Amino acid sequence: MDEMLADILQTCLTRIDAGASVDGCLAAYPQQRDAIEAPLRAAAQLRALPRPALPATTRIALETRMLALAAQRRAAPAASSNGHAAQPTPRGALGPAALLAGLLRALGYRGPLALPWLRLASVAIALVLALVLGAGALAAARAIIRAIQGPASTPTTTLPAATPFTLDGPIEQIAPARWVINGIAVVLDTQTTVNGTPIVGAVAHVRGDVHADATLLARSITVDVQQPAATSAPIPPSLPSPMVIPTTIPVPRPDVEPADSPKPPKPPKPHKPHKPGKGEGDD
Amino acid sequence: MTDAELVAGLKANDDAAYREVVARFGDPLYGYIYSLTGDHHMSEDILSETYLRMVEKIDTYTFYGAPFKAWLYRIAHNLAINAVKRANRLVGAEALETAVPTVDDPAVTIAARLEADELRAALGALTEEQQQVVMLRFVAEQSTAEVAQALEKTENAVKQLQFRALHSLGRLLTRRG
Repeated sequence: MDEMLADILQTCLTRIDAGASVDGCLAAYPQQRDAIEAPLRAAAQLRALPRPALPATTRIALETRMLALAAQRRAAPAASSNGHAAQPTPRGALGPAALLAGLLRALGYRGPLALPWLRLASVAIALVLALVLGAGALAAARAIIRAIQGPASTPTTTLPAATPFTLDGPIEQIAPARWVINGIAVVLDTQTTVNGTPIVGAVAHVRGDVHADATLLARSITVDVQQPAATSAPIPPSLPSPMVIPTTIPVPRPDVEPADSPKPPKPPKPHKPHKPGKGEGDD
Repeated sequence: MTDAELVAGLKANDDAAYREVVARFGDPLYGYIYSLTGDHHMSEDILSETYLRMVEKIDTYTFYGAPFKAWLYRIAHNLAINAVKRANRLVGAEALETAVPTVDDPAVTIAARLEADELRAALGALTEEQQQVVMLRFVAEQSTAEVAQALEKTENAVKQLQFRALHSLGRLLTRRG
């Protein structure tokens, strides 16, 4: 009975596919109407289920992903472990692995059927290789990170601990432990020797070291004998007690000659106290 | 591009074949998956997963004459059914809102939503085999012969399954209605 009804239902579905109506089909089988009406209407409802189209953005993303996958598979066809890889293995890419496999085979390695010692040896070799390759990968990763971080790091990190420099130019400011010569700040400490009479406007010749933090530490300053400028500031009677102002000093200008040091940033502008603007800070 | 050429192209990781498989089956597969899930986001994820599975398994796929789409539909169907089971639902309310065509008469829209809702719920009550048959026949619009090939059954067996499935579905819908 079921088989007959299944055939009638199939016939009706075929007619409906061809354009007939459900009622038309039911009319053709009045005796089976009760048995096939609900199934036919259910089929019609299934056919009417909403089937939205794939959104364009999803389609593009999907296609892009598939193409990337294809490229990835083309690049690494040997990764396919089922032996159906369609692309030939790039020559030399599996050189070491093939060599090892050949060596093991020559020794009599036959997979799980090989002698136990040979299987153990192959496992040990695989472990050593994994460790070596892992360490190599780690080193490579570190090198990459260093390479990436290199340009972004401050010049101070690339400077040697103390690079000699010389600086010549007019003295613009004189403070107990910090002079500005030709626009460049120079730090003095207790070891710094000063020859001549330091006055603003006089030409000074500085020798010293550029430290890792870009500080220019003067070792010796020779001041040319010169008519003092009208605006010269009074010279401190003596350099006060040793102190190095922990200020990041800008890099010398072209007339400074630091040996083998990269160009550091420009001197910082003098700090001005911030005046809140209109509305700023208002709630 | 014939099915055999398409499969060969996919096995060779040919860009044109990869484009073709998305262009040819993207829409119908998406609609099919959506019919099962009723959820756009879930359908997109399942479609993507279907293609990934296809790529993973293409090397082991043997073209023996059955339409390639039958294989894809089977992957999609299994993934969709599992996803729906996992989500423990058959219909997403959001999906119905967006999927059912907007009609001027609100009563018609609501009726259409309820109908789709009830239909999916009734589908969930069928056996997996019955679900697969009716979905492939009436949503994927495959012929009885194609479904038989896809499910590795005889056409007669598919006809029987189809009848029993539609009979159960009709009864469930009548009871709910």
